[in-house]
Amino acid sequence: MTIFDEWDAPREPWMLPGACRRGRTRRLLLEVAARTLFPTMLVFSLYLLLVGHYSPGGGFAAGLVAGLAFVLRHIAGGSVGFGMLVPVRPPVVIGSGLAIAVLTALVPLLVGSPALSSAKLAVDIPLLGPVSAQTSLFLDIGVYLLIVGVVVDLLRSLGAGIERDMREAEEWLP
Amino acid sequence: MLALVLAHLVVAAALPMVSARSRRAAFGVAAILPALTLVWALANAGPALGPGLTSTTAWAPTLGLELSFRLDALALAMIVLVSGIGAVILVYAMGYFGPTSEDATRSAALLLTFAGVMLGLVLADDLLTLYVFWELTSVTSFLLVGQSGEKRENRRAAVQALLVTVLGGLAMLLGFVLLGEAAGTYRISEIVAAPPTGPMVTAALPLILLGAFTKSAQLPFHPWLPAAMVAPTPVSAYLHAASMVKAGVYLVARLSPGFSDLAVWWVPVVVAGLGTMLIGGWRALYQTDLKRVLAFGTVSQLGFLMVLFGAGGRIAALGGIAMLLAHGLFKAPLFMIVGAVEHATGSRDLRKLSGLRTSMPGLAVAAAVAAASMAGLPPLLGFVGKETAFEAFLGEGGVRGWAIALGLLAGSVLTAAYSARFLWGMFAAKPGVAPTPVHAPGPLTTAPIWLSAAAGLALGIAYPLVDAPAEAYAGPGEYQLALWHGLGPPLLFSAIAIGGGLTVHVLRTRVDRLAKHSPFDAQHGYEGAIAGLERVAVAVTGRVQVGSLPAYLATIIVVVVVLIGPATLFGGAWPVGQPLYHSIIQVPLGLAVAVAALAVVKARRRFTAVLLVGVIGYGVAGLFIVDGAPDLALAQFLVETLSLVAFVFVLRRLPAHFTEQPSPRRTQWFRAGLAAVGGTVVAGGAVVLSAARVAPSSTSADFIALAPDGAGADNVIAAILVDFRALDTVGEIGVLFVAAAGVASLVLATRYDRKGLSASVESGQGSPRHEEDLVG
Repeated sequence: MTIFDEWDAPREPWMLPGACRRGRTRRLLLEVAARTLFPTMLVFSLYLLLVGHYSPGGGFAAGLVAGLAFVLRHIAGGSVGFGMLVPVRPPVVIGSGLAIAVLTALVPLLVGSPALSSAKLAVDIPLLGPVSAQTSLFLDIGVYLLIVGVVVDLLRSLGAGIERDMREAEEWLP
Repeated sequence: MLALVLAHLVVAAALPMVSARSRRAAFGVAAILPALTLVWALANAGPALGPGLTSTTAWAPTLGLELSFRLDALALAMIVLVSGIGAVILVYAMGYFGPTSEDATRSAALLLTFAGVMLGLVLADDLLTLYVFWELTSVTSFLLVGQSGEKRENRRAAVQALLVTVLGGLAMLLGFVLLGEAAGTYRISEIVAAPPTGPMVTAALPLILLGAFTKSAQLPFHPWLPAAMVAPTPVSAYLHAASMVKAGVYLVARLSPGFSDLAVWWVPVVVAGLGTMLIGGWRALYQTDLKRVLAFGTVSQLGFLMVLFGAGGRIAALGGIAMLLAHGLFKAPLFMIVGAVEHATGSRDLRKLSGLRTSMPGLAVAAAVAAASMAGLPPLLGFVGKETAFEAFLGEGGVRGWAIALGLLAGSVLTAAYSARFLWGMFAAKPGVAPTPVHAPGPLTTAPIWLSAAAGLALGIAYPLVDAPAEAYAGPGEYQLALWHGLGPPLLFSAIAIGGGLTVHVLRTRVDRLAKHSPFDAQHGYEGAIAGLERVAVAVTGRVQVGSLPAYLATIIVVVVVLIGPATLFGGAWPVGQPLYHSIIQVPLGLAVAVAALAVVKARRRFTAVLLVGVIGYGVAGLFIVDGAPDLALAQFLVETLSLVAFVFVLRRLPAHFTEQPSPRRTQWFRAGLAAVGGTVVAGGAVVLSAARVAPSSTSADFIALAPDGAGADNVIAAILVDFRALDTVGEIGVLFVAAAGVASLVLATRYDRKGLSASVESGQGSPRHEEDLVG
């Protein structure tokens, strides 16, 4: 359209999974930003997950941050999914999150406590010193996985699903 | 006893592994457990016929819920049918299902599952336990009738059986609750020992009877049973002749000792029972499919059993137990014979079969023995039962006694007639029909038939074996089951029944013509009811779900205004000294939210509207920060961002602008007014409600105090989410799980709908190809 579009479209594959959008819809700034922000956001989401017991954060917020990282990558690079060597489907992640949460709820029954009760686990790690965590962290991990899965699933249905529809209906041809 | 029931289910779950090696072995393994159950029950016959053997497992003690079981005389008689005939039929199924049959694996597992839940049903001594097993038998029956679900007739029959029996089951549950509350206990043995009275019981009993009638295919619910004959023959023989359809009879027999003197109990039972016996027998006379002849015969016999157990009286109960056993022992082999003949000739149409008497003499003898028991010929068990039944009502005398006795006589004439028709239809050489070619069935098929048919004969001769449980159930007395009671009216009635039946059979061409003119058809009634239900559903949905977003929103807002408005106005008070703001930064945030909200209304482009809604969300999140709720603000920011993204994704499929033509001015004013009132009520309500709390909440004080040590969290919000109210969190993520599945299936399923013909089973959402497309 304009010279600006041509100038802005990058030629190198910037996205980590290797999949890039085609030609004209690529944006250099977006791709570079996604390349840097994506891992940062994932690390930040882990931080939020672990810090949840002591500061604002927790599994829900952490899961949303990680999910938004995937959303950003999808908008920039067009790929959906977790980009892992072994392809993992979002419903599997959702299911394992729910399973972990439910198992965390039921494990206390095995040791004779009421369901959903929690305990402190303390370990002495060499060099790092004593590290302790509450068992309810596992519940948070379950929530985290479920939320990430839900967001990526949403991406799959609303993002890529609709995109494919439109391509098939020839309304929008990237 | 719970362990025994559970063992059935566990073995059933493991059966597919056996079946993968050998289909036949699966049925063989499945037969072991019912056989062991029968041995166990017979070994415990001593205590069972005396005080009864009980076992109770409490599973929710605080709610008073328990799984209690009791083995007594009636349960023992039923176990002979459920486990004894069950084992025999499972052995028969080894021969019936071929080694490559695709239905075998599923059928073996389901048949054993059914044997387990049916065992639970007859052993249950708690109304609610009984109900659970009752519905489980309906479900297994649904699955067994439906088979692979590939044939339309299977699906229709399965759905009909399920709908009818579950309808009755739900009514029965209501009745159980009423009865249990009236009696103060759900323990069946206690209820029967000291039956409650009063209006609640009067209301409960018809509801319970509705359950029993639907399950045992009584008038007018009977058509599901003949329809269920599309199932494989072992399933029909086991579920729809020997055991499951007896559940209703069993329930009546179980409760009758407590309630048979109430007219609200015996009148419906006797009327429905006699009607069913006559209609079923009449219908059996013009069926040409031998399996359907037997099916209508079963319907008829179930009516007979209902009368015997529901009418009350010791002798009738004796006859009931005898007929219960007799029916299982003659109907199961007859069904198995139909299956064997169908395998041998490829047909079960009595107009096509001919000359089997000479080509399959062994089966013909077995069939004759079983059919003779059905018709009531000495010295078979069927004769013993029928004699006792006539004696019960002739001995009772009076209008009721004679009416019932004559009704039973008419039913018995029909029974003898269709017994003869069955034998003639299957084995006789018919003029003008060439002898049907056969290939002989194997011993796995014939041995079970002989075993059960011979048992009917043996128990008829050794009638004291049947008399023991019958008397334990009915109570001791002078009259006992016997082959020979001397010359008297009952013997005369038996003779009339046989003679009349044979006469009807001889006149079969005339009867055929007559029987086809039936005044009404219950199957039409069922279909009409289902069609009517669908029409009502369509009409209601059409009225309620109008498909207009403004209409839905208006409904919601009106409800909120009507419910909350007056309560706030009259019940609440405006807080005193309410400051307009307590931090200066709230002013610009509040203004931004308000301006954005006003601007949304004027927005013409969808994209603008979405962005403005985002502004509102971020503004509210900012207010959360100012008020010291960082957790809430964080979540709000993230959710707002995500929903913005989701909106933008969806917007690509929608027109850029809202509808071009403006709605009429009156509608606009109405909507504006409603929105203003709704907003004012909600905002005003929020302020008023904030004044309702006068002291710090005691709950939150506890949370704050307990969080660091109890939950190991300095962040009290996190402590609440993952510890104090962790159950809520688990429930909420469960909701999210369902919502995600819903969104994915809605969006991805509709695209396949649009593609129309190319949508095949393989291209569903969960298919690997689809996943590849999307995940890459």
